[in-house]
Amino acid sequence: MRILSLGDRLERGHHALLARHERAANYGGPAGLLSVVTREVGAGPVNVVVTGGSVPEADSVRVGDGAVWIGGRRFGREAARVYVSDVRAPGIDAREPLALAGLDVLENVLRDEAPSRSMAFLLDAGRIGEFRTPFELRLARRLAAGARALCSGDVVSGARRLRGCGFGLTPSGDDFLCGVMTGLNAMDARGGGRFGASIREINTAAEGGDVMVRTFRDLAAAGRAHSSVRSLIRALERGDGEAIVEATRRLLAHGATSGADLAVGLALVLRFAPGWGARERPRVSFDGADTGDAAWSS
Amino acid sequence: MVVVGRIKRGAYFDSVALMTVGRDVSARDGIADAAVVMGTDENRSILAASGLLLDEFNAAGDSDLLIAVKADDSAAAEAAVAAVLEQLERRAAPAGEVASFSPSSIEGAVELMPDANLVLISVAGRYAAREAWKALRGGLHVMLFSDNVSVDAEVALKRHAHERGLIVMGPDCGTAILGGTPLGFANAVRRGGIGIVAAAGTGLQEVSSIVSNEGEGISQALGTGGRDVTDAVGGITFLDAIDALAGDPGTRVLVLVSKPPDAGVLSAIERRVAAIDKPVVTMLIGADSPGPGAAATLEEAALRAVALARGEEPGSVADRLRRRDADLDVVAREQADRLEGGRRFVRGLMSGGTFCAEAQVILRGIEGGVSSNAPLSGARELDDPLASDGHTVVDLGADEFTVGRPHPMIDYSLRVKRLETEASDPETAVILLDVVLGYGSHADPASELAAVVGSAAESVAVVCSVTGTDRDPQNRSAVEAALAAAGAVVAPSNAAACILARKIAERRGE
Repeated sequence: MRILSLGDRLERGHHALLARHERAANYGGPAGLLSVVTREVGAGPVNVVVTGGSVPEADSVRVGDGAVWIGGRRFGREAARVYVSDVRAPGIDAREPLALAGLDVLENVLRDEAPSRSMAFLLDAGRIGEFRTPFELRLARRLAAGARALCSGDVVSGARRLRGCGFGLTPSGDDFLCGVMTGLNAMDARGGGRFGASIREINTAAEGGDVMVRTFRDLAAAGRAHSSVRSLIRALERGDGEAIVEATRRLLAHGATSGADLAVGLALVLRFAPGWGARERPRVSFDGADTGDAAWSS
Repeated sequence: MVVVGRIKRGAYFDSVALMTVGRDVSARDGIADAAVVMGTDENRSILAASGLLLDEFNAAGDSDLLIAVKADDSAAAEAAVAAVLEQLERRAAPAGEVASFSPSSIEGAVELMPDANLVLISVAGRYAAREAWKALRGGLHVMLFSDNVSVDAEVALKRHAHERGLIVMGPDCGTAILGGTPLGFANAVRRGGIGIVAAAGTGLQEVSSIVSNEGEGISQALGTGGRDVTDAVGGITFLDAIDALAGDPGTRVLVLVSKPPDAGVLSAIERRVAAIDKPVVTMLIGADSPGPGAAATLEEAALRAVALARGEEPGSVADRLRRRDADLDVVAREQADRLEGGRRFVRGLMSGGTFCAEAQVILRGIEGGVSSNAPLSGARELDDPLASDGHTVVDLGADEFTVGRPHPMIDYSLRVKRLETEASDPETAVILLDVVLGYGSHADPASELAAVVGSAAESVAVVCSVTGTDRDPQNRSAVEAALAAAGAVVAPSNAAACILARKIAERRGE
């Protein structure tokens, strides 16, 4: 086994095993998550990418200045590439025609290919039918209400409704918020820093969750992202349709719905955030996928 | 109503697992609602709004799993919670146990199982050829479940395999039965002396199931992938599979199933068949000139093979089917006469591509013609696959419906929605359905369909067939009974269902 790449946001210190899956082993450390992953999972800000098809059975990982110890085995840092996870520059101006065309491509891929019961129902109202039990429907409406508040510029209220909302290891609402903050960071460089305050407000309002959720959210707030997300941002910057399709498909392969939920958050914030701060707030509707809070608050 | 729940501390499951378990339990008798979610503040607030929050849940944290069930009575609720725990246990156990032993490469798998001689590959298409090369270079046969493999790669793989006495089934080979072991979407069938070569997945399932239900059995059933019979690929696997079954002492009768092969491949198949000294039944769906002795439907192919395996005169099959069709006349009259207004069109909502093709063949020549998103010769292509136009047969397993979603044999949501739409169309007379059972298919299709079929059957005729056997995990008889109880007319085969649908529509058009 050898290390292919190290994320640029790995924290020094001892990390203890939290959970081990076939392609990823997650470790908790002093400052958050560290993941040892296979090449298929790919580079990320806190990922140690290893060769060999499966992740080692190690109870701990220690990150030092010159080396990484997986189990008791030492790997020199100089032999591995460093993955630079910053998504902020050169940045996207989502009002430009090129960016809008790319955004159309992204949304179309999500409508067509996002997994069932992801937040893609916000882009395709017909997908609300994927949520069928009363609880699922209520959950979907709640997600829609949070997304609507956030997209219309009420970021604190939106983030509070979305955090922790959904099934699974990383709830859909949290993944969506990661996409939102990633999108805001990508727009910030060309937006004169106008979205910085919103990013901080969202991250504060959404605080909580387990170590995995907290780490991903903090990284998104800092403009750091997994290689598949970074590829998508770069493709959107260039307005490269084919690259957008390919990067989105790669992102959709993340988790059960996590990649899709993040991508929907990214797409919607690129669509709506340029209108924040205007005299009249953007009117946000998801074509019948949400009916507002009133019907669902009791 | 009572609400019962449990907390599982520190239990991690992915979202699809939790949604699936929650939905399964919600569908149980006496259950009004259920949720299986992580214990975040927001999820607890939705539980509260849904009347599913228990006091004990307030002590749960983000890493704890909450199970809540609302039911008519506590017995039903407790039973449902127990079912959730059992399902979660089942999902967790293999992951934990297999994780230690699960190989992550073909080389690793061969180390674990040195006697293996076939690799089933199901990875994203762009990686599939690479894995297939690894398998072939290791001397292993390949079943390539993945699709989106280029023609060039398919040809190269198959030529390489052919030269070394190996076989590549696929790409896009969804089903096979080898040595009695079902692979992919296959049914639990009897073993016997009938061998199948199929470039049509659900065709293989229909033929093998009918053979088994008739009391005969399958020696081997080899899939080739639909593109194999094009001139670009040259039928390499189809021809090799014929040779393999011709030389297999356990195979007494061969059944060949395919959409019409390209001309060059068809000639090669005919030459190969002529050289075999075993009886061969061919079923080339939609072929303009299927050849003498070819079966007209999958059902007829299966019944002819059964007759040949028993040493009976295959001509007796035609008599039997004529009598069956006369029975269908009676059912058609009853169904047509109870419909109102201008209901006159067939709307086929098929999960099997082969069944969609067979339906078009059987409806060929009907007044006004047939439209489809996967049209055979003589059918019109639908402008919009989401909207029917006159007599329409839709392949819901086609790419435009399945990209990013489970296949309709697994996930019925798309079909249920379309079924509701078609039933509300005042011109719909018959809704035609195929229900495919077996490994990999939906565990309880009747539960997905019963309510919507019941509602639709009030205004239209719902005609369906159930492909599978009583040995399948779903049990064919039980599924048929449930669908019939819901109001569907259950035909013995896809062909019979299509014939019945046509008869009803024609009577409505009189």
